[in-house]
Amino acid sequence: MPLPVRRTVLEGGLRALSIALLAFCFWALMAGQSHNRPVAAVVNGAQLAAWSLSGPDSVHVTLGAAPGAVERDWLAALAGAGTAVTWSGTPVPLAVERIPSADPAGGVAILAAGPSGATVRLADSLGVIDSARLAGAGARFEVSDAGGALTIAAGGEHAGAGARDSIAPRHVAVLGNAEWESRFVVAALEERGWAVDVRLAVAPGIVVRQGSALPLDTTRQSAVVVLDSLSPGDAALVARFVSSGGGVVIVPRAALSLRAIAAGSLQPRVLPELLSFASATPMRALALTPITPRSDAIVLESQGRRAVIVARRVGAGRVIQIAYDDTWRWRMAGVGDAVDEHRAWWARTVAAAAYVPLERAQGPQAGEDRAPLAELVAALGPARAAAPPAAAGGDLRALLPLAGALLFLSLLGEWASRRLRGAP
Amino acid sequence: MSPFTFATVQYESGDWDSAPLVPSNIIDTIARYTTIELAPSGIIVPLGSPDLARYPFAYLTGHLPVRFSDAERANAKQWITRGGFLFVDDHNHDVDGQFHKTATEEIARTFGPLVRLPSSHPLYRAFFTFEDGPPTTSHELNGWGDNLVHRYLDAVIVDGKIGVLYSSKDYSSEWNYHPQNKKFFAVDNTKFAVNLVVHALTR
Repeated sequence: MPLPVRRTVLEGGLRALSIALLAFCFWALMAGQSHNRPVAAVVNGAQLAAWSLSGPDSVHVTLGAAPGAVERDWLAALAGAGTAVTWSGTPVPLAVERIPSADPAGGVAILAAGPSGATVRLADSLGVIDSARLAGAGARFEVSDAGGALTIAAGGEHAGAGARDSIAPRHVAVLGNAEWESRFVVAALEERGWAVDVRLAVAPGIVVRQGSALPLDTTRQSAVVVLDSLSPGDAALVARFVSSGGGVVIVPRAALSLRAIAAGSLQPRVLPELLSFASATPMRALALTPITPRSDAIVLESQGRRAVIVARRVGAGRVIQIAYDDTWRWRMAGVGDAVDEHRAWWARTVAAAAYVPLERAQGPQAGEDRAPLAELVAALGPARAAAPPAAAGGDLRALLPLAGALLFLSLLGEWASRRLRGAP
Repeated sequence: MSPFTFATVQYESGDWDSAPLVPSNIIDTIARYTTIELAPSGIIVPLGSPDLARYPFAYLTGHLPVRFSDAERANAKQWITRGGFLFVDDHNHDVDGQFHKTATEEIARTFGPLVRLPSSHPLYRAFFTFEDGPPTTSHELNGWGDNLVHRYLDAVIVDGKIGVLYSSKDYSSEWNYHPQNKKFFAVDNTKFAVNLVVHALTR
C-alpha cells in the first residue's frame, strides 16, 4: 500500500477515535448528572433538604454518631421515596428504658444499656442527675419522677426516654397479728401513699380490719404483705393471688405457712451485728433470719454471705422474701431520717413485688429516642461500606480528563498528519 | 418478733410511780382477752432515755406537778413523732389538781394542743365496744376529786393518729390492784385497757 494511502487510513482512524472520545465524554457527563452519589460525613437538615429536592438514586452517609430521630426518619423517608440509602460508621450502641416504679410516691427506674465499661451520664432538662460506669449488661438508676424527658449519654451518643407511661397502683393488703411490726409497716405504706387493707388478728376469731384485705384480688390489690403465719386456707388464697399476677412480701414468721411459694428456706436466726442504728448500714442493727434461696430465686440483697432479700417468680406474680421481722425498731430508734428511710425501704420492697398495670401514653413523646442505633438499623439496615464506583454514571466522570487528553492528542495527530503530507 | 411490753414512764419531776400495780394488772388483762404476744412483766423507762424508742406504748401518771426537762422533752417529742403512743392519766381525778394543770400544759408545750376525742373514735371499738366513750370509773362516781364524770378523753393527734391520750378519769386508781383480785369484780373494769393497747398496736 502506498504511503499516502496508509496516512489517510491513520487519519481516518484518529478521526474515528476522536468522535468516539467525544461521544464518551458527552455520555459520561450526561450519566453523571442523572446518577449522582452524594457522600456526607455529617447529616444535617440542609443536606437532607437538598437530597429531598434533587431526588438522587442513591446516597451513602458516613456517620460519626447515630443521627437523631428527625434525621433518621428523614433518611428513612428518602429510602421510602426510592433513594437507595446506605450508611457506614461505628456509632456507640446505646439504649435507655424508663419504667415507672410501683410506688404511689412516684419515681422511675432508668435502665441504661451500652458498651461495657462506658461511663453513662443521666440527665434531665436541668442538667446531669447521675452517672455510672456500665458493667455487664448495663446500669440502673432510681430517680424521683422528673416528669420530663430523661436522657443518657455516653461516648458522644445520646438516647432519650420521654415521660411516657404512668401507673395505676391499687391497694396493698397487710395480714398479720396485732404487733408493732404490723402497726409500723401499715403506717409506712400509708404515709407513702398506698391505700392499705388490713387484717390483724387480736384474739381467736377477732381481727382488726381496715378495708377488705381478704379475699385477695388483683383487680383490687397490687400486693400483700404477710407478717405472720397464715392458716392453710389463707395461704392458698395468697398463693392463688400471686399466681394470677399479684405480689407478696413474706417475713420470716410467715415463710413456713407460705413455703409452697416462698423464695427460699430459713436458716437459724442471727442476732444483730451492731448494737446501734447509728451507722451507714442501720439494717445491721436488726436481727435477721437468713434465707437459703431456691434454685429459681435470685438474691436482691445480702449481708455478707447471708441473703436477706430474695425474689422469685411464681406464675404471673412475684414473691419477695425478707429476713427481717422487726424493722419497726429501725424507725423508732434510728438516727437522722430513720422514719423516711424505713418508709422508703418498705416502699421499695413492696414495689419490687407489686402488680401495677402500666397505662401506656398515646402518640409521640418529646425527647423520645430510646435506642438510636437500633432504630437506625431498623430503618436503614445494617452499616455497609461505601459501594465501589459504578460502571456507569457519575463515577465515569473521573475518566473525563484522560478522555479529554486522548481526544486532544488524537485531533493533534490527525491535524499534523494532514499538514505534513500537504493536505488541507 | 418483739412482744408487747408495757412501759411506765419515769420522769424527773413528780411521783411517776404512784400506781405500781397498774402494769401487772393490764398485762394480765391483755393476756386474758387477746393473743397478743406479751412480755410477762412491765418495764420502767426514763422519759429522757433513748431506750424509750424500744417501747412504742408508754403509760405516764402521777399526783404531783409535772415539768419535763429539756432532755425529756426532746426525747419524748421525737418518740411521739416517730409513732409512739403515750397514755397519760391524772391520778388525782381533779381538773383543779396540780397534775392536771401542769401535765396538760406540758403536753401542749411539748407535743401540741390536746383535742377532745369524740365517743365515735375507733379507740372505743378497737376490741370491746364502749358506745358512750371512755368507761366511767368508780372514783368518778363516788365523788372523789373534782366530783365530775368526765365524758371524754383528750388527745394530741399526730399525722392523723393518737400520739398522746390524756385522761382525767383516774384509771390509775381504778386499775391499781393485784390481778388476782379481778375475780371479786362482777364486771372487769380493766377492759378499756385492752382497747388502748389494741388501738396502739393496730392504728
